[in-house]
Amino acid sequence: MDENVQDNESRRTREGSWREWKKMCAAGLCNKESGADLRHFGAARYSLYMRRYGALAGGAEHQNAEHGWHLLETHAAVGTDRRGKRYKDWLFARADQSPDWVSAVESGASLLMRDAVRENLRREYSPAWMTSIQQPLSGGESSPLTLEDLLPDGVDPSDAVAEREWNELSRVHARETLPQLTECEQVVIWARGEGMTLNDPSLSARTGTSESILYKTHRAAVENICSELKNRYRDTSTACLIRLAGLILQELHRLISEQKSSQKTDSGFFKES
Amino acid sequence: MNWPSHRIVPCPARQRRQLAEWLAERQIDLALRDPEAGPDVSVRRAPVQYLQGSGNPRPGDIHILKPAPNGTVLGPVYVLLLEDEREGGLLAVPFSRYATPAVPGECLTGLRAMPLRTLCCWNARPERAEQLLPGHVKRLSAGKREQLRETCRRVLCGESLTDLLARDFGPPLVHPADPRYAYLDEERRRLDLHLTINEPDERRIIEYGERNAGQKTWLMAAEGRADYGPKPQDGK
Repeated sequence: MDENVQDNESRRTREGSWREWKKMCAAGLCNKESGADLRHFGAARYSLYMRRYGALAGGAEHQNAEHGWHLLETHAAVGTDRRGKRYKDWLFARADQSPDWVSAVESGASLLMRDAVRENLRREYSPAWMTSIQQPLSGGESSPLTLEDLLPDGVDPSDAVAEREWNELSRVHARETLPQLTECEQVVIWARGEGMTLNDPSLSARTGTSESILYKTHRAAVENICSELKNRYRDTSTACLIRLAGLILQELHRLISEQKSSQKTDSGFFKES
Repeated sequence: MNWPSHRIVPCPARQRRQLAEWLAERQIDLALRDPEAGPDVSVRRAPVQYLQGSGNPRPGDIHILKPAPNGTVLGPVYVLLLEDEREGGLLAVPFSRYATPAVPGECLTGLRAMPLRTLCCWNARPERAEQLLPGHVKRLSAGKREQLRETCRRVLCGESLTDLLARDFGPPLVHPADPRYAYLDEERRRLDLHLTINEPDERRIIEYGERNAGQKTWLMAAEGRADYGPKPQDGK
């Protein structure tokens, strides 16, 4: 199963239940055994995802688990007729490609359930409305970034002279920063400057690291540059600092390109893209 | 320290609220995922034979893409078919998995069905009939189709939006460490997996307008501008 859901409460569903469900449109219209089979599956998956989300879900999992299957049917449908329930075609087509049909259809239904639970959590438990713009972003990893950092007030360089001054300032900082960057940091900054995605397999091969490490490396490197600017220019607006950080990264990209293309060992890779 | 002269342009509170909503939804999404989930590499049987749908795909039809042959850990991909004004065929424009537009290349559709609320214009690709599950899931009215076609055209051509139109689009990407970059990579690869295209990036991404000719336009279409990365006029 590509969605490796294991749950003590879950048991394997019957192929016949799924096929009857597809024919009859909704679990409520299936015979008692098939309907119960699917509702049990839905309740187990629903509870699993609610538990996975953790404390924010509170006690809701116990109140709503029995409605899990109904939530899936409601969320996934685009309309009330058969045409609007073509997600079932996707589910079955996916399962038909697999050597283990029942596991594959359960896996696909788990993905649909996960989306339904996500939507439910977004509506019922999302803390977005009370997020402060100076509060560090929540998430798996600690980050100094805030909403204000991500969306600062904009900076509009007023003339060509100002633009030239911004560029000169960024060149000074880029030259200071470059020697402090690790090889991996240089690669990801260069790649982003090229407009590449960091999940490009050639980058993982070049650096010998996973894509998740590449994302973390890029984020850490950029955050370091921003923190350094923040420390150095304490009274300067966030908008100016972000503007400067962006220019420094562009300049770093240019310097790294120049540096790498002059090195024989790396020239092939850095010229590829 | 003397700073270069500049003028501060206030960021609308609406954009920050929109971004907070998107980040909250993204956080929930990531928390629900199986941490060890990866592409399913199990041996597949021969591709399934699909029942034929009624008629050819038409502009304004919404379809589901056939499941990715090499496995995926995300749900079905819904696409809206629109006229491709430059190439003459159809474009497949994917819908987002999220309720809120993430970037300036994404917009609210006004459709109520949950999988159809947000359109990712930036990730549009040329349609290929063999990649669609047979039969449309919905057919848009002529008015709605025209509205979304015009919206998509503006994004792909890099045209500016009126203040009223811009309200339906996502907030700008400014900070180079913005977590939305990872989302854009993920969505782009998701489409690649479904379309199983083995061409270089430049050929599989739609290029619109002289301004962006020859550039990797997908990121710029998503961002709505090119603050980070090569500038459009810096042609290589």
